[in-house]
Amino acid sequence: MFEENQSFMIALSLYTLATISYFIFFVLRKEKLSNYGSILVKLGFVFHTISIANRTITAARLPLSNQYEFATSFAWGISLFYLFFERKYKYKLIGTFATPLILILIYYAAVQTKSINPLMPALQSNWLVVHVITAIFGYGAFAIACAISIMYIFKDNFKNDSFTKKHMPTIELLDTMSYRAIAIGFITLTLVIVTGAIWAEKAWGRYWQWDPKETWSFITWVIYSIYLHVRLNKGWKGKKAAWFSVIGFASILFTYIGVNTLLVGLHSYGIVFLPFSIF
Amino acid sequence: MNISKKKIFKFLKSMKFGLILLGILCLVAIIGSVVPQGRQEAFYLNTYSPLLAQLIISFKFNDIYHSSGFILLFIALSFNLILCSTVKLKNIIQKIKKFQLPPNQQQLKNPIYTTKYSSDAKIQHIFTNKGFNNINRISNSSEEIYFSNKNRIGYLGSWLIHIGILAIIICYSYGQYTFWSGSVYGVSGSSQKIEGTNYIMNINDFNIIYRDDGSVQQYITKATLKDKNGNELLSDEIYVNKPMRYEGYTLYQHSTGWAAKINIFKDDKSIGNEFIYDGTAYTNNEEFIIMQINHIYPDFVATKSGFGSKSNELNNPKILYSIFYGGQVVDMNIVSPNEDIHWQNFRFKFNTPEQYTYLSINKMNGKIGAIISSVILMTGLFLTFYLKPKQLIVKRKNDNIYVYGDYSFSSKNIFKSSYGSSNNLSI
Repeated sequence: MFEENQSFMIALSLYTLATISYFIFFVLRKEKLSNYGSILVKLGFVFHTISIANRTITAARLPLSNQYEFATSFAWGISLFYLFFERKYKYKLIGTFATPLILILIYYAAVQTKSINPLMPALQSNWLVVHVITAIFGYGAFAIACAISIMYIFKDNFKNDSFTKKHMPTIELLDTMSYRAIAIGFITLTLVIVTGAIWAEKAWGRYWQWDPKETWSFITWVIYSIYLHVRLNKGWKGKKAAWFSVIGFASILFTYIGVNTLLVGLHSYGIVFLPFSIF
Repeated sequence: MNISKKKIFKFLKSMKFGLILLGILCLVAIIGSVVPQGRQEAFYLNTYSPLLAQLIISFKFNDIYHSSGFILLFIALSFNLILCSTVKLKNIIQKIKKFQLPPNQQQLKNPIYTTKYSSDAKIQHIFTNKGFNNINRISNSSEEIYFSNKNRIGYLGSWLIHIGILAIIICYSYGQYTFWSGSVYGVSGSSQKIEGTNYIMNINDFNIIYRDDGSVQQYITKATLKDKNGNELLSDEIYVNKPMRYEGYTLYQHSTGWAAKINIFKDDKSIGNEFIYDGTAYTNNEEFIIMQINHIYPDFVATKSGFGSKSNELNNPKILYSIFYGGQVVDMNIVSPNEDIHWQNFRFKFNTPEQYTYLSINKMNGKIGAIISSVILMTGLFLTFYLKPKQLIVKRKNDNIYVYGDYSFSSKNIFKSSYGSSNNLSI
């Protein structure tokens, strides 16, 4: 009924409208718009899912192997976690902070080439599927943790504002929500690194080579492990923890976009890597 | 142990020291990802300013992951993890033992919920509703105390994480220290000894599978591994993502290229023949002559910008060669297969080129250990986040029931919010 590109563009438009609705809700305090925002994200998620499903059928594989495919899947993962958190905690204002992150990723996807290319031999592995799927869930969880942490920082600066009092969770709950999202993200990030190492061993002969992507995944893992250490052992909470969460997500974005475009390695899309170089 | 030694020991096993090391590790890793690794010094001198290049070379930023500083960092982290885990285990055992004990008076302060007693079933419901099954009961003359614990194993979570990380570091270091690598290559039907081992590799067949659009679907080598006496040990297909494994050795499909067999004649008498791989040479030290293949073009095309190949099919094969005599280039040209090349009283003839397969081999110990360590790490994470030890205490005094929440983790009361906000425990 809807082709991949059509449904992708509809999803992109719906997410854009949702972001605008949430923004107006937040700035002009028009409560009705938060409901529209929520509906628009849900509709966007449906069309986004259709777009990904269509691509999966057309390519006869999961769309997880180039910048466009991972960007759109990453945005889908954030949407999924946003909807889950909205449903669980019933605070629509999270959307004001989460939808811009979805937009960044989906617009990034929109400017990438959408051509479907067959998988090069190194990418033909079930471990790749597990590796990338876990990355989508992990990155989605970290994105929502980042959005909630920004909310926390905002709320901390506008404690007495009646609107934030009504529509934002308490500062304690925001802190707990962010922690829970990070816990999900951290477990999945660890799984991403482990499955990536297994795949690398099968494809390239070494399970860890300090390739820039591996290195930045490791850096991200260390950032979040420092956060969790001090939180669980020293009861470190509040604004500092919120900033740590934001820094962690910046590291995630660099691991995904920065490494692929700025640094050269096995995962690089900036330079074509051919494992079979002697032609 | 004197006070200063105690202080040093305390610092070395502290979380603070561990976090400092992790922070430094992050910084080092950032440098390692930004500065290209393992290049020649000239690369850094040409790419960066003289000062920056000197900094990179002096501090070994060009090979940071093998530098002594980096290794020292990991040794320090391992040391910290060993000390921390040892101390932690003692505390955990104490916590687990304490967790089974009946609640003390301190825990029986400030109930989070109070209701009227109607039956014992009501008390049981309080426990079962929160997933507590084994209910213990103690009583004295004036009151009855019920308590139940769950997820005791959760106490092991953070300890398992530390052990997992430590084991990964040890396995990886061991693997790096004992790492061995080599290679074997050849065209279909060839056989080669694997240098540094007692094995011989037979390349039975090599195929490249193309898709309809011309892209490569897979590179497949059919190979047989033999011992030094020629006895077959293992015969299998090797392709990308499916290496051959034998006795700790792993053989990977690494790359491919073109090779051509050359026949050499002197005064029309054959003096040798062998396969020359693209970019390599035939050397005859007795005759001081070298024949080098500069490049093999399977589907040759000459354009204004130079020579190239239209495809990877053998439609119009050409070989660009150079002949060296006494160290000097004496001839260079492009020929077709089976075309004679004459130079003085020598004659050369290339056969039709064939594709060869290149297999990389390595032996990296500790892989299974690393996988087991990863499983321990994942288990530890799961226990830490999702199997937190919980304790529920209920006191019955006269006609009242007092519910006390979780005391397993410091002062945090996990149940407080659910009791406070929902009515599903209206008993």
